[in-house]
Amino acid sequence: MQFISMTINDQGDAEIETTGFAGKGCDAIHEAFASDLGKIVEKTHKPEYHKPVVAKQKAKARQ
Amino acid sequence: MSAFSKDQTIYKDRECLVAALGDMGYTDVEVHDVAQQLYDYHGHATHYIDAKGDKANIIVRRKNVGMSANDLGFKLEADGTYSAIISAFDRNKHNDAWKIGLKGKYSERVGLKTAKRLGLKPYKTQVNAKGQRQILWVKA
Repeated sequence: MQFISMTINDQGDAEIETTGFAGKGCDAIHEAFASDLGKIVEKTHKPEYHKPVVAKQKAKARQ
Repeated sequence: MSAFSKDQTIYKDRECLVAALGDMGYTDVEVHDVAQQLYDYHGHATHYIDAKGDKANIIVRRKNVGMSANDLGFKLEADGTYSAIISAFDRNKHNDAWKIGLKGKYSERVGLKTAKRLGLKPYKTQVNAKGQRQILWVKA
């Protein structure tokens, strides 16, 4: 499942988080929200929810 | 892959700004394509930011703001963004907390509009551990 969450932070700004996306699929979502809301001031990619990435990391660690 | 982005909210959607003002309790809001004059609590034209008279495109008239209040306005700038015109007198009411509240409501309105445009399916709305409002969607 691909989830998108929007959190309204203590400054009234929006924080968008996408999980379960493969590759760069989530970038389009972030760009769309940022374009409508204003601008991205911080962006972080997190591979932990993407199984192929985690598997690749584990395999690399085993080597 | 997952990603996190923090977006700085800029007022540029008229419909969402008017709706956000409604969420903040101002349901009687004037919307003008051509900016109109703002007035103080005496009914005199204000000149806070413009010597020729302050004008705004989105206006909450003083009778709807409160007792002895001035008009609250949002002016459409050349770059397509709206900037607030708040009198010093009304800054007790329209203080930083109020402005953050309005921005939060606006961000939520814009987010809902964006999600609808992207065809995202509403999943749930919740309050997180920090007491912040959180809306979740599923990509269909």
